[in-house]
Amino acid sequence: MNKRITAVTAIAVVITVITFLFSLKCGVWETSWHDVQMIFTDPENFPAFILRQLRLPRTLLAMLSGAALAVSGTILQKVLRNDLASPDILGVSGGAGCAGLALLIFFPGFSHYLNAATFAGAIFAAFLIALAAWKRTLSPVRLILAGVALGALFSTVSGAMISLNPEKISGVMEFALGGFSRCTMSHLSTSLPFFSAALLLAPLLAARMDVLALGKEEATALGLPVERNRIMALALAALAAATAVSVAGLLGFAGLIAPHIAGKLLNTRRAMPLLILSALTGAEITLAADLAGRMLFMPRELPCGLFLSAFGALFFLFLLLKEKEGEL
Amino acid sequence: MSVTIRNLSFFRGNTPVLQEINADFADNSVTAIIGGNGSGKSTLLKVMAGILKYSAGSLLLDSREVASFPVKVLARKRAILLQNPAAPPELSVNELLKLARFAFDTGKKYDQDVIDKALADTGCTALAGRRIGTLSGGEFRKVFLAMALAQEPELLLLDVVEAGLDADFCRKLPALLRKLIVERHLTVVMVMHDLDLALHCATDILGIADGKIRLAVKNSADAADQLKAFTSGAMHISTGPDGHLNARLNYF
Repeated sequence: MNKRITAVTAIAVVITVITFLFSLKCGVWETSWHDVQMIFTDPENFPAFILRQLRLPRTLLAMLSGAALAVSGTILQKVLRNDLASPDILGVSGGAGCAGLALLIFFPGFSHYLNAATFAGAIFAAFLIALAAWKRTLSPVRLILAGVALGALFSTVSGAMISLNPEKISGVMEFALGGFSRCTMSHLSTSLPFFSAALLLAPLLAARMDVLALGKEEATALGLPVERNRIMALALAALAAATAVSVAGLLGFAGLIAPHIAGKLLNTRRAMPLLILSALTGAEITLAADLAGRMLFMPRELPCGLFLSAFGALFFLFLLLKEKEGEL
Repeated sequence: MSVTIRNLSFFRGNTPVLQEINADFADNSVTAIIGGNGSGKSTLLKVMAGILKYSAGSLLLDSREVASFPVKVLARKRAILLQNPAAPPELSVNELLKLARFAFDTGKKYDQDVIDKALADTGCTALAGRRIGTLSGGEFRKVFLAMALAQEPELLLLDVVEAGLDADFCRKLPALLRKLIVERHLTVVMVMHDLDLALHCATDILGIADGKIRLAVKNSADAADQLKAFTSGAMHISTGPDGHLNARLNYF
């Protein structure tokens, strides 16, 4: 059992590192492995300097966003005890979408604040949904239903804004599909503290998430203050997803699929190994999707979000079909 | 651990579920709570476990109000087998039982010893490596009983422990409870539907109807008439040769 976890996790690390290196090397602008090596050895040198300023932040942000969405999805699926939970149901995508669109349409002069606006929108939406779901206690089912309802409301508002202002939404497409083509070093440095907080705090909650997964009464019986820990876990999930969405646009699918891929590969439900592999899986599929978006239709570039949905869905279907009957 | 309940009431919304409950549970005692469906038995058990907050009155565990315990401290003192526990099907039995040690800082080795003993006591040793999803209904219940024992409780609350368990396990239940009491001086309170089994396990019988205590007797031959009256004649109560009470359904 533990051997399988170690082996699968090690393989995932190796694959992620390889993809990381290819992501630095490959793109419209041809570079050599030597140039890639220079990023680390001689960063002031010309081609390395460009790689460092452009491809390195993009690559790192793709990985961090994928990992953060995956961690967010893992937390939600465990804590809400629902396999279909994903960051989208916390309204982070809907809220971020609304805020982003509102900024681009009504305050086009401030479009460089897009990331800040989407982050604020995502956090505000999560807060609003938690408030709507609250009735003496925070019930998982109410949270999911409130999330779905308010999510629909957010997309209606977004749809209305687009329909009423068709001429102002040229930059919106990439944001709506999710992608990293605009990412720079400054995006990385502003978002890094948030990513770090979310990714490093999540493992601290792993043991509690395992207990929460048994339900409210059993968790209380085992000595876990349920309310406080649910709120803490959900806040962390919202922070992780909001940070990712503010950088990458609406990439929510990674948050739904990565925990399931990790769960199938590990054949476990324990939170700690699941969080680690799911973060690696999220980072890997997001990076691979971004790389594919850059390479497959060169010199045109397609948003990462398109390939992410395609890859993620296909790989997951493959795992689902491969599963033997009665396998547990 | 002794438990003292005084004038305790519990409301769900505006509906009273438990009213003016008074009861005492002594060290080394086994109390069976009997009563019809919906009479408030499980609610009383959950209130005693600190899972549900009572609306009025007091509930003392060793003379300290249960509401004043932090949840984590409470988990080191009492354990409850819920009527409908749930767990992710992919979890292994041993992984599940490790969660019973969540509130303890006793170290991995000690924890595993406690878990192994709880599995052995409930006859679940062979199930340790199995996934929850592959267990039968009865095995599933036994594993959760083992989980309650793995909390090393001083107060053990069991909600219909006999549900789904085979005759052989039920037959051995009185001996298991006696063994646990000898080992750990624990207090056992269990909701039961099988009155005959209750009469073979318990030192005290508590009868609940409509959220009120209608019967509180020592388990002795003298209680026969009161038990018969409490069950409205649904049970036939007889005294065995050893002076023990037996109960069987009265079909006619």
